[in-house]
Amino acid sequence: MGKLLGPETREQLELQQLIACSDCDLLLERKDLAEGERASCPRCNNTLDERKKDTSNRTLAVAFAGLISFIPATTQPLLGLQAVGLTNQASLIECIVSIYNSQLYLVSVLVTLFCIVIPLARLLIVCYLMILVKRNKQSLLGLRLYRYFHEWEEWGMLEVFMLGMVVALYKILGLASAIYGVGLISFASLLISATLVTQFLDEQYVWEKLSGQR
Amino acid sequence: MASVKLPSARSQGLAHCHTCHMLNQLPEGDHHGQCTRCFAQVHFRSHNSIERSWALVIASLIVFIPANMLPIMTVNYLGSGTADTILSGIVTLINLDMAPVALIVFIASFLVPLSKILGLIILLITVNRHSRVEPVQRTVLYRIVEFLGKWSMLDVFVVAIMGAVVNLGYITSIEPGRGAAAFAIMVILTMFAAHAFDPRLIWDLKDNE
Repeated sequence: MGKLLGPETREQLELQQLIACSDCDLLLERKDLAEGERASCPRCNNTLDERKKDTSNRTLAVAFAGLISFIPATTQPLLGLQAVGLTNQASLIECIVSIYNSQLYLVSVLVTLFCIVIPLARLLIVCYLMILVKRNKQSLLGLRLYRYFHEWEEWGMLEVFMLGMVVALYKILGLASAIYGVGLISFASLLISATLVTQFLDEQYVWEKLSGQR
Repeated sequence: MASVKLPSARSQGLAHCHTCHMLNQLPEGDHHGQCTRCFAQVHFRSHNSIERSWALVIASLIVFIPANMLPIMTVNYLGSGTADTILSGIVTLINLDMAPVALIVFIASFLVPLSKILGLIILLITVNRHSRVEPVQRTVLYRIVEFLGKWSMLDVFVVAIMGAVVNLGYITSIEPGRGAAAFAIMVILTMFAAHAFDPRLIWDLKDNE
């Protein structure tokens, strides 16, 4: 838990020794956390800070794994169906083209953004940042990219698309027999890698490294 | 804890950066500035948070109507086509003996967007009325609304996948409908509405006690 401030302690502390809760704005004293330790807001239980183990190596490894999965996940068939001797399969890119051809231009742009552009950009950014952190480099460009990495987080929708495939699979099974493509496994692996990136990334540590505060 | 006066960062002239969580000392009289670490905009409280959030909530409620009235896809089977809206698609799933999937779609496409809008309305009204009721629970409500955001895109993705995969010419094919676009717009509006709401407003009265 974060440490509450007494009425007189505020003046004695430097800006960097203080931390505020992002959800309730409670001002607290920043504690140096040990590896694996987590500080939460005593008032609204929001996570304030968490030290993670070996963050740059682990994050780089899973982000790289995600980038490798990216190509088959987008270009290889995800699902298909089979009926009376006919088969048809579609990859993620073919899904986008198909919805574009149905004149739903907005939807095709949104699917491209949420399932390809933003997840890919975030993986590339995090790889670059982890290399900067490992080399102890301060970087203005790194700080800017890291800001985008956070601002775009909620617009990456790999997990929603994965659930969408499960629902689509059941719907296809209601029509005909289904085919599972290579893309499906690659997409699952991409999703797992992207999830592990957020698990392994020590947010605060990277901010401090990039800005030279650590 | 009620007897102790808990200082907010704002009461000390400090603005918390929502991107990098750094505290910024703003010059006297300023309400916003730029974060000294990550250069994002920092505010004591998001600018016009309540008004922007209300506007987006009302807009998403309006778009909710076409999103549910227009067909999201048309299933062609041996020459005859049936157009499905979100709700009639759920009924179709139940008729195909797929109740668990129908439940997932019902929750993600209907219950989630509606409860998200309802949750935001509760938050906006209580903040407007300077309510002191259960700030912890209202903060949890805000976190749920924020977390749920993207999951309502589920049906849009399902339509995109089905339209491409189910394509066997005359035997069976699926044509995505305008409802999918309206639905996507509605989801994005609710996400922006949740984003516009500043949860720190829930706690402002407590600090002044």
